Amino acid sequence: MFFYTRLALTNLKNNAKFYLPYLLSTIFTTALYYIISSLRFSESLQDHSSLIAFLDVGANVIVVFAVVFLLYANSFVAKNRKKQLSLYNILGMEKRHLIVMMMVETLITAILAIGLGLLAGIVLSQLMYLIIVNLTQASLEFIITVPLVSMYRSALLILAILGLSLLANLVRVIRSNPIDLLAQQSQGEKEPKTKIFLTLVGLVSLGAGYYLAISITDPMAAITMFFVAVLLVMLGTYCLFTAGSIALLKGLKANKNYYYLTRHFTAISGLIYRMKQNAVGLANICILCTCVLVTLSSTICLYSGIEDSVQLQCPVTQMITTYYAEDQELLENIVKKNIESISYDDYFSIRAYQTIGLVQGTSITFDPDQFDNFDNYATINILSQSDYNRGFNQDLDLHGNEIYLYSNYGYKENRITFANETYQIAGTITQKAIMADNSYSPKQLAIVVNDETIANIAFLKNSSPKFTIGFNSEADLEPVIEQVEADYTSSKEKVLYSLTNIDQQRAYGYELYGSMLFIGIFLSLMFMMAAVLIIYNKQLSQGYEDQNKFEILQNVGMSQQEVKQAIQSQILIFFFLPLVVSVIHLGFAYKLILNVLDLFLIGNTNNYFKATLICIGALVVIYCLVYRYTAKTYYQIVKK
Amino acid sequence: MSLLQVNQLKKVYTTRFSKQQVEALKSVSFEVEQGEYVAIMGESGSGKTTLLNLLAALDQPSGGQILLDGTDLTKITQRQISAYRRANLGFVFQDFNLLDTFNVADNIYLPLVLAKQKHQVMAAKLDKLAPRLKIDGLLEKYPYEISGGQKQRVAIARALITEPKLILADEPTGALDSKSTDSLLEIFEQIHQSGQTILMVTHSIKAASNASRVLFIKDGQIFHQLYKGDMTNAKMYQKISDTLTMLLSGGQ
Repeated sequence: MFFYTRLALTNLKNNAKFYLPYLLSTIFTTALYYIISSLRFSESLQDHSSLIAFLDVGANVIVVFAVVFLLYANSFVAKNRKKQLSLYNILGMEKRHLIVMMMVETLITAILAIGLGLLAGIVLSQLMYLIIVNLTQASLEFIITVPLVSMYRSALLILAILGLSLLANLVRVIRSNPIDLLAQQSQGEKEPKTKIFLTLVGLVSLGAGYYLAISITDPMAAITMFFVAVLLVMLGTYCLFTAGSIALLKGLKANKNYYYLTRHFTAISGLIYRMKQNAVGLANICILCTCVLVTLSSTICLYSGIEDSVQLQCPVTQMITTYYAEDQELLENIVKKNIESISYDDYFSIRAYQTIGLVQGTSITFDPDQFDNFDNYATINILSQSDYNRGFNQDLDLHGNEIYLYSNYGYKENRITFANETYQIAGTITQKAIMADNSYSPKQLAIVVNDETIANIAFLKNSSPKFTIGFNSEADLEPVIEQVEADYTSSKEKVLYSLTNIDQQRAYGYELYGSMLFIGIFLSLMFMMAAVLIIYNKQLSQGYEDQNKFEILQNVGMSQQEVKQAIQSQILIFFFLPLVVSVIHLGFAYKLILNVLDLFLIGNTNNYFKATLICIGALVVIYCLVYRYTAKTYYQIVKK
Repeated sequence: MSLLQVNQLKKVYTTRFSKQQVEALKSVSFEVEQGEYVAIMGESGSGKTTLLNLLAALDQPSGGQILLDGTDLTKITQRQISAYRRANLGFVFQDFNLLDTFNVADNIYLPLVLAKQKHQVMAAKLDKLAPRLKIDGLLEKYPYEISGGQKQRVAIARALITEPKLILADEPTGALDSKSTDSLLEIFEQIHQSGQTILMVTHSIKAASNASRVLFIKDGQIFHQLYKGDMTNAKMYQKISDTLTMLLSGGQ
C-alpha cells in the first residue's frame, strides 16, 4: 500500500500542470457547496423563508453544475495522462495495479478536496453570512455556525462526483491498449469539413432567438419566451462555434487572393484546426460568460431598484385599505381612535376607483384585454370632487367636463379623453398620496371629476371604489395597527382589507432581492470558475499543439518576431471570441431582460443600463487578467 | 568568385552553469562553387550541425566569416536575416518540417506567401515545379496522408520554389527507407543537373556518394575532402567508406 501511495503522490506531483487546476476546482466546488448549504441550514436565517428558498435553488444548481463541470475537468486530466498510464503498462504494471494506483490517487484527491474545501468553506461562510445579512438588511447578530449536516452533504457530493470520475477513468484504462495509446499521439488530424446544415441551423436559431428577444414587448410573454430565446441562442451558439466558424474560415480560404496574404495565411489555416478541436469549449466559455452577465446585471438592477420601488409604492409610512368603501366611516373612526396616542402627520383618507389603462396621447382605454407595451400602461385612480375635498381638506369646485389631474410623469396636454368623453384639465394635483394603494406601476394618473360626472361614467358602475387611509409616523406602528385590525375585524362579520407599511415593504424588498443578488453573485462565481478552468485547459492544449509549429515556421523563414505575432493574433482571436459573442448576446437580450424585470419591480431603465455596463466592464477586466495569467503557461510550453 | 566562401569559421559554446568552453568549430574554411553538389560528413558531435546552423544563419559564429555570393552573412542585422534566408536559402530537414495544418500546396507556398507574392505567380511556379518532383498528384493532400518519401519531395519543392542560391539539406534521407532514399537522391541529382547548388550534411555514405564533392569534418575541423570527378557512384561509395574507416580508426 505504501508503494501505491508514494507512486500516486509522485504522479500527482508530476502531472501538477493538469492535476493542480483540477484539484483547485474540486476544492472550490466543495467550498461553494458547503457555504451555500451552511447558510441554508444556519439556524438564525430560518425565519427568512424567501432567502431559504433561494438558497435551496442555488444549492441545487451548484450540485447539477458541479457534476457536469468536474466530470469535464476530470476527463481533461485523464486525456493528458493516457501516455503516462500506457507507459506504466508497457513497463510491466498490470491493469489491476493501475486500478489500485488510480484508486489511491482518487482517495488522496478526495481527502485534499474535502479537507481543504471544508476548511475554506467554514472560514468563508462566516464572511458570506455577513454579506448576506448585509444585502438582505436582516437585523441579525453575527453568529459562527458550522452545521454538521452541510459538512456531511458536501463530503457526500464530492465523494459521489469523484467516484463517478474514477469509474470513468477505470473504464478508459480497462478498455485501452497501450500500443494504441502511444500511437495516438502522433496521428495527423484531418481538416474539418464544412457543415452547411449545422451552420444554417445555427444561423436560424440564433436569428430566431435574437428576433424573439427584441420583438417581444408583452412582459407576460417575455417571461415564458425568455427561456425559449435562451435555448435558441444557446443552440445557435454551439452550432455557429462548431460549424459556422469553420464554414466562415473555409469560405475565406477559398478566396485565394485573400487567403494567400501573409497576414491571413497562417491565421486562417491555424484557426480552422483550433476551432475544430476547441469549438465546444469556446462555446461553453461564451455561454458561461453570458450567464454571468445576465445573472449579475439583472440581480444588481433589482437590488438597486428596491428604494425607488418602495418610495413609489408607499407615499406614506402606513396605509390601510378596505375593499368595502361603505366601511369608510367605521374604519376611519377606528383608526383615528387608535392613533391618538402616537404622533403622526400627513393624514389622509381617500375613496377612489382603481383601474389600469392604456395611455396613448390624450386618450385612455380601460380595456386591458391584450398587454402590448408595459411602458404605455398607467395605474389610474378616479375619484369624485367631494371625496377629494374631504380626504385632503380641499375645496375644489369643478363644473361640467372640468377635471383635476395628478400625474407622476409630467402629463402635458390640457385635455384627456376616456369612456367616450373628453375632459378639460382645469388644474393639477401634487399630493402623491392620491395614488394610495394603486401605485405599483411606473406611470400613475389620478383624475378628480365632479360628483355628477362620476355617477355617469358607465364602466365605473360595475366596480366599487376602495377606501384607503394613510399617514406618516416615526412611531412604532406595530401595536397600533394590530389594535386597528382587531377592532375592525371584531366590528363586522365580513371584512377584506390590506395593510401597507413602508418598513415592511422595504424589508420584504431587501430580503427578496438581496437573496436574489446573493445567489446571483454566488452562481456567477461558480460560472467564472468554470470559465477560468476551461480557459486554462485550452491554453495548455494550445501550447502543446503549437510547440513545434513555432519551430517549423522559423525554419522555413519566419523571424521569431513574425512567428510570435502570427500565433499571438490567433490566440487572441481564439480566446476573445467567446467574450465578444457573450457581450453581443447580452446586447440582444437587453430589452427582453428589461421586460421581465418590469414584472418584478418598477423598472428603472437607467438602473439596468448602468448595472449592465458595470458587469460588462468587470467581466472584461477579469477576463483579461485571467487571460494574461493563463497565457504564461502557454508561453512556457511553447518556448521549450 | 565562389558562390559560398567560408573563412576560418569558429564557434565556441559556453555552457550556462560552468565556465567551461566547448569549441564546436575550430577553424573551418572551404568554398562551394556555383552549381556544385557538396556533401559534408562526420560523426555525431563532429560539428556538422553547428556548421549547418551557422550557414543557415540560425546562429552567430564566434569568429570568421561566411560569404554567400559576396554578402557576409555574419554582418546582416537580426531584423533582415529572416527575409535574407527566405530569399537566398532553401532548407530540407530530416524530419520534413511540414505543417500539419496546411495541405501540400500550401506548405510549398509558405515561403512565397511570407515574401508577399501574388497567388497567380505562386501557382505558376508550383505548376512548373510539381511535375519535376513527381508531386503533382498530391497537391491537395495533407501531410499525414502521404508517405515519408513524398513528404521529403514536398519539402524539397518548398525549398526550391523561392529559387534560392543555395539549398541546405540536413540528413534529408535520415527518416526514409531505402527505396525512398534512392528516389530522393535521384531528385537531388536531377536538381543538381539543372544547375542548383546543394550543400548536404549526411551520415549516409550512399547519399554522400551522389555528391560531386565530399567534405569530412572531425573535431571541429575539415579533415579531408574527396572529389568525385568521373567516378561512378559505386566507386565513390568505396572511397568514402575507406575514408570514414580511416577517420574512425584515428589514422592520419
